[in-house]
Amino acid sequence: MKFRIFRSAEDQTGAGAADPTESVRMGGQVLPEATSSKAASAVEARLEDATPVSGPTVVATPPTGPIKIAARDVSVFYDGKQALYDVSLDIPDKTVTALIGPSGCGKSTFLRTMNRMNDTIAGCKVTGRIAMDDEDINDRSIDPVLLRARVGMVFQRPNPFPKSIYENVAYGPKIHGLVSAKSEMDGVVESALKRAGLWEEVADRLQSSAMGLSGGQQQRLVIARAIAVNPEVILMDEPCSALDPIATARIEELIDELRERFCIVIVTHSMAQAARVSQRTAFFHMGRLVETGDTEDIFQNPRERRTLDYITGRFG
Amino acid sequence: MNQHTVKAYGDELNQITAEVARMGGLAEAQVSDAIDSVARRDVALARAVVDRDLKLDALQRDIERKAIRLIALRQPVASDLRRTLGAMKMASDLERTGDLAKNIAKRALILAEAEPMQPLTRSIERMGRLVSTRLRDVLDAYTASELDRAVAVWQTDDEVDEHYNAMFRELLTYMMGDPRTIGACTHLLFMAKNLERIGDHATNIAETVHYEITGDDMVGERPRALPGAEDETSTPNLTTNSH
Repeated sequence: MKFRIFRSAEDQTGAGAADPTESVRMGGQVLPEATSSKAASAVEARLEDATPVSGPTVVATPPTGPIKIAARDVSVFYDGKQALYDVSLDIPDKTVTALIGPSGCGKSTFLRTMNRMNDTIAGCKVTGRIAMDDEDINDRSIDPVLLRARVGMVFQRPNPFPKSIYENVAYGPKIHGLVSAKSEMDGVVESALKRAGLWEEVADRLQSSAMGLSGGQQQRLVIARAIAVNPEVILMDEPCSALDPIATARIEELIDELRERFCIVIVTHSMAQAARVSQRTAFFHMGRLVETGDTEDIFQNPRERRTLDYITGRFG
Repeated sequence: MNQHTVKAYGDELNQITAEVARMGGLAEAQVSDAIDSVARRDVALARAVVDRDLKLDALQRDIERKAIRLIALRQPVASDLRRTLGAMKMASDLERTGDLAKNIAKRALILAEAEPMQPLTRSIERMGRLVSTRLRDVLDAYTASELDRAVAVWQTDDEVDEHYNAMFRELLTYMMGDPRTIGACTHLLFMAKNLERIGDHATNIAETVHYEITGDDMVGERPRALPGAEDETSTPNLTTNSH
């Protein structure tokens, strides 16, 4: 997969996308092409024959502990077509929340509202309120660049910069001006790589290209890059779907460790993975949040018929 | 309930349920045939019950194997998982029921050689009919997924206990009156105990059906028969809470 923004930034032929601030806006992250308007039209296409089913969200069990992100009546429109309907969800801190549901159900759309990624899609409108620590993230006073440093993101396919392992991790802290001295930066890189469980494997080749790492290592590198800027929230959009079971298990183990420090929201198509890594689960269907609760309740005895049909493989 | 997208998965689950229902039918027949063999002093029938028990054992092993295979290959969750595990639990309750019926039939073979004890065998027969009705009710509740019916069986567990307590006292009176009947009466007492245990298995199955349908345990106090008030020897029920 090629990354539009990065490629053009490298050969300097692109116009708007070559603007270096474009990638800065992502807080050290690179957007894969999938988040362009092409994805938006795919969402529309799926929504064409979908009849929205109304009804309030069922809360099987309320979250315990402090709420990091509170979404209220969040709706998303792509060129006037509604993709998400009045989603209200409390996301607790230091917890893994899994968003599950069939393709086109709105779970990725909802994930992207939490670091204003939808801002980058032309014709996309978000209504409702999303508060992080009681602060409206869509407020004018909020700088999306800084927001995305606080809310990091990991994508489906590992997307390291075609630079050295060291530079990949140092990039975020550098552009955000978090670190100045070289020795300090060394410490930040080492600590991020250690927290991502990659240090032992790459300590002796920090200057080699990140592209030489395996898929699983690249994904852990991307996670190291995300945590190097000390975010508060990490969003993960199907982080293991391109990985083999062993690499997947290592990422899942890593997610479990990171949960102690961060609020993690993960979109996954693997229900077994949602059951394994998350403590909270939210089930989306046809643009609506159908049911949310503790993961063990959702997978043992969901309240909603549609949730049960989905988790037991009866959809259709 | 909607169909599974993977049809073979749904078929496998249904197959396990059907096999449990078949096993239930067989166990029920074993109980009522065992009772008949006692009441009619029917040696051939008692032998048939003893032989047929092997069939129940084989069915239980098969259900267990199929359930384990389904868990390994399909990873059932929620209601499907409860259904799979419920089938395993029911199969073991039914297998135990079969063993107890076989034991009654074996004792029927011995009693057939002794003097008939009409009033006592009639008491056993009455208790046996009650227990096999309960077993049938709970199995029907299972196959039809009828929650109310399962709960009704669960709530009337005390009827069997009352019968057992009454039989215990009746047999005690007989044995004290004529020590020559002690041998036969002991066999009858074990039969009554076996029937009481079969009743407990029916109650267990009712609990399994409840859990399978609702995902919750049966709550609330089940009515209990008060143990006989006269003296210590007539309080057999204190140690029979086997579930």
